[in-house]
Amino acid sequence: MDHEPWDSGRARDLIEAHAHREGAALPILHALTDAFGCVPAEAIPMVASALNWSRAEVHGVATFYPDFRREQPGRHVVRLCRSEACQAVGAVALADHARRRLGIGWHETTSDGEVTLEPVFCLGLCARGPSAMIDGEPACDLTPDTLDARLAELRA
Amino acid sequence: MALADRDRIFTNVYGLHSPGLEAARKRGAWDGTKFLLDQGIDWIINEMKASGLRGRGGAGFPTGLKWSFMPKEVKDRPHYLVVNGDESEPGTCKDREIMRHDPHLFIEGCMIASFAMRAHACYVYLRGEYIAERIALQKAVDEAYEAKLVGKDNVHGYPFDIYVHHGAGAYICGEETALLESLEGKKGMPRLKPPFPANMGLYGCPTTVNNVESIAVSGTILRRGAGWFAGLGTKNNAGTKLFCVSGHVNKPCNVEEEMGITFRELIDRHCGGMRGGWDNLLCSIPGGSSVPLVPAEQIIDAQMDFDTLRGLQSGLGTAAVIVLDKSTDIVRAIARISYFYKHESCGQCTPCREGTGWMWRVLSRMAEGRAQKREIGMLLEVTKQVEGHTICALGDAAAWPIQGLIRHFRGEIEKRIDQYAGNPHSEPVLMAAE
Amino acid sequence: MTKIIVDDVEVDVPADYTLLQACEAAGAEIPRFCFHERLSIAGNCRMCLVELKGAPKPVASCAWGVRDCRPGPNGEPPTVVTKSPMVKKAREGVMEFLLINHPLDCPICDQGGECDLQDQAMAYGVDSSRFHENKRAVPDKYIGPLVKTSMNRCIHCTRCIRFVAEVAGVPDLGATGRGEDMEITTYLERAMGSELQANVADLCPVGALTHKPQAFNGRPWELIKTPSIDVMDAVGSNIRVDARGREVMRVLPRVHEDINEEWISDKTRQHVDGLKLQRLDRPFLRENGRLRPATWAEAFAAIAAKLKGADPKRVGAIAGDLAAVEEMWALRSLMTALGSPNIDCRQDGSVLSPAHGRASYLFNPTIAGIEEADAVLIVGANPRREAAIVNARLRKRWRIGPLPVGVVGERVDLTYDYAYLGAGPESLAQLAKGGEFLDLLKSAERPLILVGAGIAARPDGAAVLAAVASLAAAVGAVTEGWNGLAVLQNAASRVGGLDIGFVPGEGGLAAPAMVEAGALDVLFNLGADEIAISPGAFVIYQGTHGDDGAHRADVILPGAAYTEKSGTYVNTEGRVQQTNRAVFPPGEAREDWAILRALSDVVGHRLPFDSLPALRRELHAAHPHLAALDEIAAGDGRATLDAWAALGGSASSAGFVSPVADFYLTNPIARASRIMAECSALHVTPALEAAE
Repeated sequence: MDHEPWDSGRARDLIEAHAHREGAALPILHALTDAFGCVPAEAIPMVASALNWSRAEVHGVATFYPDFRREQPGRHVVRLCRSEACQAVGAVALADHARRRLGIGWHETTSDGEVTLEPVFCLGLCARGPSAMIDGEPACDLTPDTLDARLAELRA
Repeated sequence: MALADRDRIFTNVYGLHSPGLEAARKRGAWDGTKFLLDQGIDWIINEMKASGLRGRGGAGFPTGLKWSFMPKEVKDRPHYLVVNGDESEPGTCKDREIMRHDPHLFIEGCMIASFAMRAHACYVYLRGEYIAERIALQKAVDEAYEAKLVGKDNVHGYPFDIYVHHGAGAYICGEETALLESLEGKKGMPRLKPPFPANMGLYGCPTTVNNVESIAVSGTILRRGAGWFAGLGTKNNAGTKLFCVSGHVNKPCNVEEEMGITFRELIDRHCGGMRGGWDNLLCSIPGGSSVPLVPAEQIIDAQMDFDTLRGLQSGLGTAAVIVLDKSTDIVRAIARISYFYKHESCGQCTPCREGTGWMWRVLSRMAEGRAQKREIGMLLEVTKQVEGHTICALGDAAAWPIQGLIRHFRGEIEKRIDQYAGNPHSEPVLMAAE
Repeated sequence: MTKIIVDDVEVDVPADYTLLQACEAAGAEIPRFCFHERLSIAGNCRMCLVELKGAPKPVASCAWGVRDCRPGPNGEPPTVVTKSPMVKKAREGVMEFLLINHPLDCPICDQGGECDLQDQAMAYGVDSSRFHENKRAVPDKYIGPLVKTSMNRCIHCTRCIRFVAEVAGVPDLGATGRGEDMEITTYLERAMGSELQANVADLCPVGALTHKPQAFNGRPWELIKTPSIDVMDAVGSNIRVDARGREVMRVLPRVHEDINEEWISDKTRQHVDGLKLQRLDRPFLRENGRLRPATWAEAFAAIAAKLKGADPKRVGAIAGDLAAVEEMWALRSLMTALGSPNIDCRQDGSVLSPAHGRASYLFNPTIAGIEEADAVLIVGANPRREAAIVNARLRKRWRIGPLPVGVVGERVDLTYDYAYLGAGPESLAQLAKGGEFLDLLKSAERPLILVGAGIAARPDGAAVLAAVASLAAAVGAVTEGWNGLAVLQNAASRVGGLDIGFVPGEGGLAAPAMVEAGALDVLFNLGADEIAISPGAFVIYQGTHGDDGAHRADVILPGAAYTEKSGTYVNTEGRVQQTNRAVFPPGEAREDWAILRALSDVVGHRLPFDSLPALRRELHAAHPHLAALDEIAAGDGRATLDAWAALGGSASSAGFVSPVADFYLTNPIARASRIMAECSALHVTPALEAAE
């Protein structure tokens, strides 16, 4: 999941592709996030002018939704469920293990730029916890070992 | 009693069969939809009312009644159906199965519901995390368009469009007016009510917001008749319901069951029983993380329906049953839930913005025992100051779990405070900030 | 009308009232933080909760309409209780939440003493805190030189955001993040780009936004408060001048629904340091090319010596933009006594004249009347710079409902959308020939044609006025009951000067002719600092600041600024208002009418009044409408159109340019102000980048 480097022309295309829609802000911010891994600061004035909004409004919306990062994440994003159903079946230990293994805290990226670790509240996989979402794919019934295996796969 | 297979609405909840249109048709979806629409709006709404279906999103408001609130004729503003697929309540995982495995049942329901409320457009709002579900649902929508089941010019003779939208990781967007704001591209901050969405909803137009499950069951209810659905379940709590059982049971699962099944039967029949046996049950959070917990002795033989659980000062909510055994640190568990609500508060109104953080902080100290006993009463009072004073129900959702904890496990908190006081140099239990 | 019972009092209120308004109508006081009459409803502070019988929870009265209430089971009117234990408890709870993360640094907070939170805490607060966690710390933000932020104190009422977005119409302020991490900020920590921005500090119910120039300067209870009138532009905003001892500490808005509502421009508010700097506090006399301090007697003697034997035709007087009617009346009387016809209050060379009727120089539809207009054409004006308050009213009208606005002149951001019709007289002529916008104006019932005073000061001013007149006649801007001809003046003194005929008499010279080299021997300059006077004439400058006028003076007579005297000003609408003395003039400076009265004695033409009331008696006898404070004597619009239409000449092709190049530096007081200089340097408004 390599993200593209910032390119204002590409951003303009993405914005224009959605700007005509009703309620275009979220689709635009999603498209930017899909392409660049985040909503780059440079894009905010562009979105504002496309929607005829103030920059403060766009900035406000972008910071309201946790999915719109401000900075590019690592090549892979691992989101571990932190909610109660998963906690009941070992999510705490799993999270501790992940942080120790990766040597990073929440919202941080490993120094090689490979993996970003994020908490998430309930992926709706409560019956098969502890669960995670790895690069957009749900992962279930995780244990420290299976998580390690998945991480190794990612880095391979 | 157990739900017979013939009475199941969701026959592909485990994805054993194809979610595709052809397979869905074999399972009954899109069967006679035109005939149902031909019976007219009044018939549909009366059937829905007679079926006794109560909203599956948590609040349990009668669905037929809600549909009837839409203006009787379309004036200058179009009507909209908005389906709430922002399934973010911790513990809840039913809508995703519908969207992945039985999407056509759902799309058919959207069409019927839109027809009943004179809407020609339906927006489905999925939570941002549901990527696979979005793809699956979109695929099914494309199939339906292809087969001319929906669209401007479809076989049912009722122009109807369906759009799939997705959020971006904000739990509050599951609140119906916040969802509308988010659909409009704004921050998901709940609106003041009144005006209610039926008058001023999406883009200021009459709108009804329904849960995915409520919509998805409507086609089958109309096909099999209100009497069939009303005959299932208990009085005032009719029909079947998807239960999401998680936590300390041997086989956590999603299962469609009759309303009013007892907790014990639900676990024993479908979840392989309680981990470590029934004596090991500590308590259950029976309706998603926002409802107060119910201790073992009260929940174990309770009927799982709206009214019984309300009687236990809890609620059925989304029927996300989180089962906790005696290994659970219940104070920390609730503190974590409390953190969740603090994290998801939109920050618009004072009691929720300030109160959720306060409650979480006090409770996490209590989880360590680093508190005074008089603070328990104070915490309870703070929950009461939040409850009912906010713009939306998130304030209530943040307050209830704590009220449940104090109601049933006050002793546990006190014990911990005593332990800490007796051993003041113990290492504090750190909770990582997220 | 709907009946509703509030605390056992039955009242009859319009159905579109909110519960809060209904409660106030019934005499019940409702605490509030986020609610503000002139802003949209947010409903977020939850302080105004009341008990509505039949509702399961207390409701936010600011957001709940009377028509949303259900009647009782037997049809009784809805019942609201504002004093029940449930209400009290709810409000106490909200107050506690507001206070837990509020720093309680009242002793060092500039809002102290006029803080809504402080006041409400007296009613709903408790004396001790149950909150033992760490308080939230929020970094302060830079939002410009006028507003200081202490974001720890913010209670997230969002009044500032709503003001900036709704009234000021700039995109600068917003909330980021969510939950308890929500912060109010400008995007990228930039200064706000509005000339109304400082109003946010007035709106802030706590000390999160305070006035930066007044930081740590004083406490409200130390200040003497004097109601007055602003003279920074021709709007006549109602203000309150707060003074401590001899010093004006600050200017605040006073409510006047027909003029400034409750806003004032940043210049109106923050020019006050200019009242202390560069002041002329004693007479000066030029000797051997240099100005030296002098006594009043020396100064008067020098003037008398120059006037003695001077040809009255070669004596003249120009009144500047800040002069009050009283001193202009005194100076006019003196010039008449001297036999000179050379007087003019139009230092910009405008051809607007009382000869064309009073309607020819007034904002006839009135400022409040803007809200009734259904189409607006702006000709040669930048109302945002020339009269920010008028511009805010235009924006308000534009927000209420569809309002076609057309602009002939500079293409600038006016905070509302408009059709740009061209730059100068040619575009005006083009518009008059036909087209979509002309049709809009014609089909409008109450078209408003806003004419910048600047266009009358062009060399081709007469021709442009004639063109405006024919257009106005063609679109029916002046009808029975509606005079849509709106001349937007930008000088506080102008309408008053024109009212009393401070214009050249028979054979007299106008201001531009008076300042030409060799035109005059003696020129009396009453505070005109924006006109260049050629060398030659002996110049007497009476004014307040060491500005351009003083530099070109041979004698300087130190006068009083508007905060130091009671003076009559007539605003652009023609509304007569008076300033009041809040402090005394510095040093030997004196009230201007008194200086002229004393001088008249020395030069042998004693003016017939010994006191301000006596002067006013004479003035009012000559111009009765000036006695009617806060009233507007309407002019005859049709006569004006006829008079203008008769003006001839041909128009040039040069585009219209606003006479206000820099909003912050339009007069000697503002130019002396460091704060205004800082604002000007930041170019906060001027460039008016394209709307984003």
